[in-house]
Amino acid sequence: MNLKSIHIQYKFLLQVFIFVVYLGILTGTILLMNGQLSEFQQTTTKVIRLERDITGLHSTYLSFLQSTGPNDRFFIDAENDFTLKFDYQSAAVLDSLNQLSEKPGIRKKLQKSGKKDSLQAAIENYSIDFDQTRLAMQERGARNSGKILALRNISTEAGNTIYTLNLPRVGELFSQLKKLESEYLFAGNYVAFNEILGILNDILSHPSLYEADPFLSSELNAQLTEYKTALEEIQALSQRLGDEAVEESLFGTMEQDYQKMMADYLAFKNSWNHEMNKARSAVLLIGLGFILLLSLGFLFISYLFFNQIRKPLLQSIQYSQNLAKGKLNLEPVTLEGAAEFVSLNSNLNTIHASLTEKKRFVDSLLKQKFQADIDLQGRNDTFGKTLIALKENMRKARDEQLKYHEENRIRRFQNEGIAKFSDIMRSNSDNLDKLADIFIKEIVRYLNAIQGGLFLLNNEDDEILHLKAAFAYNRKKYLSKEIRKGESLVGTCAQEKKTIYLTKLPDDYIEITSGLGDAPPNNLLILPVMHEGVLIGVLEIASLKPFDHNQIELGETISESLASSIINARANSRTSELLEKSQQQAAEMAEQEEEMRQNMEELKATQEESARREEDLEGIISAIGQAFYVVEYDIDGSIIKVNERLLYLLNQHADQVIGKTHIQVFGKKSRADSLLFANVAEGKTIEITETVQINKKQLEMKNTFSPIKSRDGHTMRILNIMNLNK
Amino acid sequence: MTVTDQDFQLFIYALKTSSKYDFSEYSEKSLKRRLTKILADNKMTLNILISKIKNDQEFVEKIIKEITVNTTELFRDPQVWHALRYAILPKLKNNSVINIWHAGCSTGQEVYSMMIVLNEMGLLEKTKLYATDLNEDVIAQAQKGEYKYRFNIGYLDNFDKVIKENPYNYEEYYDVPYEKYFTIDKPSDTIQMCNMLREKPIYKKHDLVKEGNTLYVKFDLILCRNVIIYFNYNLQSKVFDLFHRNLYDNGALVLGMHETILGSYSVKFQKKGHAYYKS
Repeated sequence: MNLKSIHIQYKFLLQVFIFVVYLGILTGTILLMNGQLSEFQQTTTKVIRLERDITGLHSTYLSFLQSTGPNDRFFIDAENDFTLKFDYQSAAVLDSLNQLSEKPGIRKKLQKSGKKDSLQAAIENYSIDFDQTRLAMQERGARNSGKILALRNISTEAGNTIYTLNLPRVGELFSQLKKLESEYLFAGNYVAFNEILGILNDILSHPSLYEADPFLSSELNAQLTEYKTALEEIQALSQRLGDEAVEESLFGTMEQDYQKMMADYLAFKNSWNHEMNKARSAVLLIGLGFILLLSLGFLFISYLFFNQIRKPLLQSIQYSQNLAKGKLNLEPVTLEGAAEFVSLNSNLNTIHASLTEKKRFVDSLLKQKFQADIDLQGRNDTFGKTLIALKENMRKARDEQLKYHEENRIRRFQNEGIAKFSDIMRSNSDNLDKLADIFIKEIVRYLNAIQGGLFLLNNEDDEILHLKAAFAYNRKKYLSKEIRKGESLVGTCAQEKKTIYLTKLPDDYIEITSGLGDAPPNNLLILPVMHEGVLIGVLEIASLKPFDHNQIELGETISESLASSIINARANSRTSELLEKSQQQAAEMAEQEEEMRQNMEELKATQEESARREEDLEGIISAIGQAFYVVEYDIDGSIIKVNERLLYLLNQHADQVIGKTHIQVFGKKSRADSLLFANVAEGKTIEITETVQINKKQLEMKNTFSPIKSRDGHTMRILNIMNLNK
Repeated sequence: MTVTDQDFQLFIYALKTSSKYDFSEYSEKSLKRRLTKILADNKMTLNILISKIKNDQEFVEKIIKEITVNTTELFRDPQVWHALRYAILPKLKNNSVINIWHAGCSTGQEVYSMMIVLNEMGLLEKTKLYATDLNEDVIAQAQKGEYKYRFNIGYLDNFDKVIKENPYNYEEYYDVPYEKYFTIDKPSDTIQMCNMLREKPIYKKHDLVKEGNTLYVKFDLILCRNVIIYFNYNLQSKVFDLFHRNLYDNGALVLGMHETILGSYSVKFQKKGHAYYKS
């Protein structure tokens, strides 16, 4: 099972659980730490209390020493309240020491460095030494007990003996002794011991004793010896106890033991404190460290948990936001994570898919595609249901619209057709050829056919129909453009004057030449063109598609109009033919006129040009004539022309000169003979200077004879320019 | 209605200032006659004509077309064509390229005549023909190559004379069919020049008065027949100068039958038979 896909509530519970666990562990840890620390604290308290106990113990001992009077029951029972207290206390201290901690860990710590054992040993030692002291004290006894009593008894007996003996000196000594004894025993006059001994010795060695009753004296001796022994025993005990000097005495030892105990306690306490500090630090460190790690761990888990919710939640929010804004081009949300998110996202995806689907649906509706279908999301998909209703509505509206358009189309087809062809017929009412050509082309096109032909009768009685105009037409069968009435389908229609409509034709009936390939049109419509029952012609139209009844109806209507148009056109064309002819003739005439005029113009211009040239030349010639004497001869030498100046010089009239030769005019001596002229005629230019006689004067003339040539090089005339050599 | 000198001058002036056409050096008499005709045809007085000229460029163009005299024929003046065929063109037969300018080509019959002769001489391939006229309409007609049959029927005789016969040898006869160069359609009364001939020449509107050589080539042969008769002396000289400058050495200029070069340019050309050769 995928961890991620666990339900959120379970995750939440888990988180709570983890939290609880965390708290538990935390609490536990804290408690543990606390426990541990308080343990330490307790032990520390107990350790501190030990001091008190130890001091208390010692204080009990001291109290015992001070307060134990001679009549105390201690000397009898060897115990009194203090000793009992001491025993109790020492047991308690030891017990406390041992019972410092039940915790093995702490025990171990306490054990560490052996300081506890030392302390324990010290306390035990102290206790033991106290026992010794006690014993010694008890042994020694007090006024009415122990060795002291014994001594006193002995001393009393001795005293009695002495009394009995009635030795005054001894009795004095003994009274001294007794005094000293009392001082020694009860006043703390410990040096009296020696004195006592001394006295004893004195007594023992007193001469008076020798004279005394021997029995009594030996008794005394024995008593005094017993007394001495007892005294020595007491002294030994006293010394042992340390009444006088504490060195190496029980009292001293007790003090020492107490010091040791305190010292050991201190050492122990320090050691314990040290250990405890260490331990406490460790506990705190570990504890806090652990808490920290635990908390971090918990925070981390919380974070993971939080993130596991936050991220998919944000994603879902984002997605739903996009959806809310109407965005549809979105990738589906990935279905991962907690089951709730899977569920949520799955729903979002569904919403998205549903919206996309609906949009697609609406798009197809917009494109007028009404076959689109939509899946409803469920019974409650009111939106989907509304869309379906919309589709139906739109489809119905479209269907109605189509129907309406279709009706319109048909109506328009009819009306426009009629209008169009009326127009065609009206515009071409004067030219039958044009009318027929345009008509056939337009009717074929208007009916979506591919070819057609218009056959006409030249006259109403004719039996033969001629193909007047055709469109994309090449009838294989009928090479001639003539059909007899009754022949073939066209002829049949002409005969019967009824529309023929066929949808299946033999394959070779018509061959299309309009480049549509080899598919022959299967549908043929043949209409009679009639005016008031009189047949004018036949209209044949062929198509690849069948003709619907609207087209046939239109065709029939138009054919009727066509008939009258043809009649009109024929009439008109005759008139217009004549008109045209006359117009043509007029135009031709005008053109001819214009051309003639232009020819005239050219002629005139040429003439003027020639005239100009002539004028030009004339001017030149005149100028020459002014400067020179100019004679023109024909090729045989007879003079044709003479200029004025020469005539004046010759003093003759023109008719006197013309026709004569040069020699005849200018004298026989002239060298301008027929030979010269012949030469010049051949093309030479000859210059001669000669003297001639003119009016009785001898004049020297320079003659220049040159040929006047035609365009083609023949000499036409001869020119002589004469100049006087002055 | 006759046109006074003053009227005439006004007309010239109006044209010169309101349009690009300068008729001031045209032959007065001829131009006056044309003007009279235009006034009659358009049913206008001169004042109206002049004001129209000043305001309506299209009208000016129309007038120009009515002024020009466009008389022409196929193989007009056969003797000239004989000269071309047997004297003038043979001189050019060794050229790698022959440039011919028909200045004032009118409705193009002269150009087609030239092309037919060249073809019969085997020179058509290497010839470049240029045909110009002041009148755009006649140029369009020339390009169309369609002429009235009945009008031109006499000119088929000219064709025979030039193409089928040899004037220098009566026994020679080339049976060149008309269909080689044009189709005759009697019902529609048309002669239609064949496409090859129609497409060969370069046709361009050109004003000999104002423009120089806008064809940007030099010529071996220039034909300018019955054009200069409408020009005055000055203008004639200018035109001769234009031709002279744009002929190759020993190039030929062929004028109309009744035209000659007078004046200073007569020495610049040497007349041999029907042609003036640049010297």
